[in-house]
Amino acid sequence: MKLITNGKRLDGRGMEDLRPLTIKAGVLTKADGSAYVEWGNNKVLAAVYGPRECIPRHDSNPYKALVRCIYRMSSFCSIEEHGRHGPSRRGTEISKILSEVFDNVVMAEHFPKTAIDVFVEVLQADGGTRIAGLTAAAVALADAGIPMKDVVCGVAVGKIDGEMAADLGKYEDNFGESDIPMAISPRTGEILLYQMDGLLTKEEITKAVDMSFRAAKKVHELQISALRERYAEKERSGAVSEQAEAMQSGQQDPQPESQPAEGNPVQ
Amino acid sequence: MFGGKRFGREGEGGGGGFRRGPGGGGGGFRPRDRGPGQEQRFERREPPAEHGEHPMPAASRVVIPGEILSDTPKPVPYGFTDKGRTYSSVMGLFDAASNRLVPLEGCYMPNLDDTVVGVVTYVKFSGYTVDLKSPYTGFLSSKETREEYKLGDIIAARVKEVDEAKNVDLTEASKLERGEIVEIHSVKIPRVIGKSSSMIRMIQDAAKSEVIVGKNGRIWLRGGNTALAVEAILKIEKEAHTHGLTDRVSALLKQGAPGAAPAV
Repeated sequence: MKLITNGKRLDGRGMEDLRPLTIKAGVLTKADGSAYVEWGNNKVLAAVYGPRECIPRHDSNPYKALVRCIYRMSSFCSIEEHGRHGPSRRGTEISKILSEVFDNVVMAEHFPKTAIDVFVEVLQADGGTRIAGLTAAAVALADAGIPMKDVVCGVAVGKIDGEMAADLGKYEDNFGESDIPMAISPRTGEILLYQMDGLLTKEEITKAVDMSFRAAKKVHELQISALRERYAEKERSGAVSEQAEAMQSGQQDPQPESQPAEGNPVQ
Repeated sequence: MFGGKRFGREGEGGGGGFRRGPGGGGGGFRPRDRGPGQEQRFERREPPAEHGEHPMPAASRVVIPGEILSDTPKPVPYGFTDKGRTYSSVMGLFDAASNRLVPLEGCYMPNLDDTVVGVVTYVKFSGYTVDLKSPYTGFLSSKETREEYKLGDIIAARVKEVDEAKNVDLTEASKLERGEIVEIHSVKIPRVIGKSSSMIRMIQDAAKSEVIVGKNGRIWLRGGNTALAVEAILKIEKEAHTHGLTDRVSALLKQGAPGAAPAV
């Protein structure tokens, strides 16, 4: 299957272009924090409950909160899922690595003996769901007011038809030569999640990592505006003084420049 | 005016919740209840003198976790320092002029001397377990009270002690009978109280209700036009981070609509 034709990928994107990405924070009223992400054809919902009492008690840590992330694919998320329920091995693995990502940034020492539960539910899957889930979970954690050192973000990169490409879709992942999901802390440049399928040379890996860093910046900007938007909404619903309005618009991050395949930021 | 004789603590120093004397509420000069692992000099408590105030000058801006606040290490509450720079750890409103960061979200963390409104969830021989709408439950020892409470009773109390493991001991409890409770986000409570209790007094005067404000996000009201008070409180919760709120609340209270449904 040819993944690159005339320099363009299956959906017409360039090698470093992201799929259309929109993020909305605070979509669930009952959760302490929540976020909804549409990334290409992926639809992912994240909800955060916590800090709350850690049950089972024997899992609790007297010095810090337990950050538990549970990644689940809904039974209807894609054509391969046949209504199967319950955690799969893949889901358990992804839950573990996402928990470890947030262990690095959440300031858990402030909430001893509690648990911070992060639920990531994939409603529709089209490649790159763990990164989409992580993107949503980071926004949900910030929305919940959990103190963190950074809002983490990431982009999966890989090799298709011999070329490095960012943000692989489902077919590119299945029929390509390599897939590297990667997540970073944009503030420090640390890599918090790194997995790899396939075979790559050292130079290819370097290229992939650099590409992922560049692409992740754009994701981060969208996360920031989704969070800021949360308070812009609230301001609009109350009678806002001109002063506050001027202040708010002056603080908005410049919108990322749109590239052919990049979607509109959340409005 | 305030429920129960034990609660007449006008003008005392160090009161949390509604009643506040000089020297500020939870926070202040006591040794802080810091857990282990504080190498990063993370400041959790707000400076005492400004307790109950909100950084509402025009310079306030919304910040997100990891956003840089300063190129030099500064003791900003809810901020942290890393390699000589100061960053925010939460979603909040930051005022660069006064270095104050007020979180816009977050759970209630019990602090010494806070007034809280809780629900008795467990009755033991030694005392009562009290739900505080927090990850941490409070405990009211039998030695601290002459009254006997039942499961489900709603009480107002003062936080006597919080240890490193966040075990919360309560004292000066009084049962809240009849009336109604408004639950809001605990981070908005300082705005409901206002500078030197100005906002809550305004609401109380307009509605002519008894009011006890729990720092944990529960406000008890009884008598008078509680519906009006509830409407004002919910408006404050929704617009806590905006400018000109005091005037809008004042206008709402002047309209007075007895029995009006609170805006949600």
